[in-house]
Amino acid sequence: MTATQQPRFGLSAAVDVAVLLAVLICLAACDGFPADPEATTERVTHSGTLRSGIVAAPGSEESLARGFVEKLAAAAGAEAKVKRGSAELLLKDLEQGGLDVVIGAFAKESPWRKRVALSPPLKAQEPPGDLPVLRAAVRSGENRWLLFVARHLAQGRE
Amino acid sequence: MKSVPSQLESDLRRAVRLEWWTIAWQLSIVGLLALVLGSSQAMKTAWIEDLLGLVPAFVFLTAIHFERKTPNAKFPFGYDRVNSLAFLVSASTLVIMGGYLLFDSAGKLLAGEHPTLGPVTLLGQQVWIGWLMAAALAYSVVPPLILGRKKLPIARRLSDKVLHTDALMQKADWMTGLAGVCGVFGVGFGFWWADSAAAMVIAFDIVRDGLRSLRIATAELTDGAPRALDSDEIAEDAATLRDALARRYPEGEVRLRETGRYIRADIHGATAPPAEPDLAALWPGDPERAWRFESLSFTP
Repeated sequence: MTATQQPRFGLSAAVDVAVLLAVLICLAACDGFPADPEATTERVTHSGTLRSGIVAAPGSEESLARGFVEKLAAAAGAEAKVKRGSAELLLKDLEQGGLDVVIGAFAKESPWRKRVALSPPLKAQEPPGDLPVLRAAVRSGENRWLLFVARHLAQGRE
Repeated sequence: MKSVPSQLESDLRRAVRLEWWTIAWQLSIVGLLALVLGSSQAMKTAWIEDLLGLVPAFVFLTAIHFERKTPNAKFPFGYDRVNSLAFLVSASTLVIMGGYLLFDSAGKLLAGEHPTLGPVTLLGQQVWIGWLMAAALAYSVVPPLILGRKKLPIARRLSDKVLHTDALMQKADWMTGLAGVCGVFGVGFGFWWADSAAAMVIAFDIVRDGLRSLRIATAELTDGAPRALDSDEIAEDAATLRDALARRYPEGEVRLRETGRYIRADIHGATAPPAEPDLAALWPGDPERAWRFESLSFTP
């Protein structure tokens, strides 16, 4: 093998990559990771308002949804502003950034999951089959906010 | 009649064993990545690349199986070129899949799709799935790197193009892993475009692998002169052989072609000498590698 055919991946390159990865991980370990590309979490905590939507549903479900929204707002140090309406209207609003969270009955494989991010069920475990159950929907890609909602959800279930 | 030269046996056995290990490790990677795919385009692309990484291993094992078969009435020249055929098919797969993924990722980038990397429950804790993705990607880099480095010298000794391409693809796998990790962490830092951008880098790498394999397979299937393992140039030992034969038979034109790992020579415009030539004696290079010279024919 001639000098020009040196292996492209030497030990020094391995060290470089390891250092780069270590730097990435250290940076990531800081507060605020993962971040929201559209800064939902920041907006909710700074403005003190949680703009939420509740999909119109039978009484008991709606009171559960309302209770969840209020607890979520309190956890974020904000006040809940609730808008009631049909799923289609509320989710569109959520997608465009007009709302921070929408509570409604969605199936795990709902076609909406391509356009918004759905949380695990509000109560109990995943239902058998693909039945719609109450879930929180947040704007797609708002990963910090989704993590916050899911953690709050998990605490509520304990 | 046809059998693999005895001095290649141990290397061949080692190569076969390495390819079975490749399949086993690669399957473990594919399985692990499938668990944490989520909706990340970069992860999906890395996963497909790892799935496609199985192809060269299968091509190599199939080709070896056929290479050991004896020529018969229907295939009088044997099966040395099965590997080129299989290689052509797998190269086309790489190009098509890579092209599709490139298109798909570019579409997501243009549409401004924000990938959702949500939480997963791990040991009762809500953990960001990005951490698991990064860990899985880091794991996916290690076995190919080791296997690729082990295969490279064997591929050179065996003059095996499939094994060589496989080794190069595996050695370059760390770049895919790193691109994937950058995509996932990029999303973590709030750059939604990092995911599709990383996916495009990986898809581009798949296309590049495919085109390289396509060039090599085409050269052999169109009776091109034997090529070097790592470039499109004519192989050094083939060039030396051509010159030696040209000196020995100045009345004809020397034509070389390659079937699998073997070189076949044809002296065009010359009649066969009365005494049968000794191929090993005609081989100008290292006698250890005289097995490369498989046949010599004369066409008046």
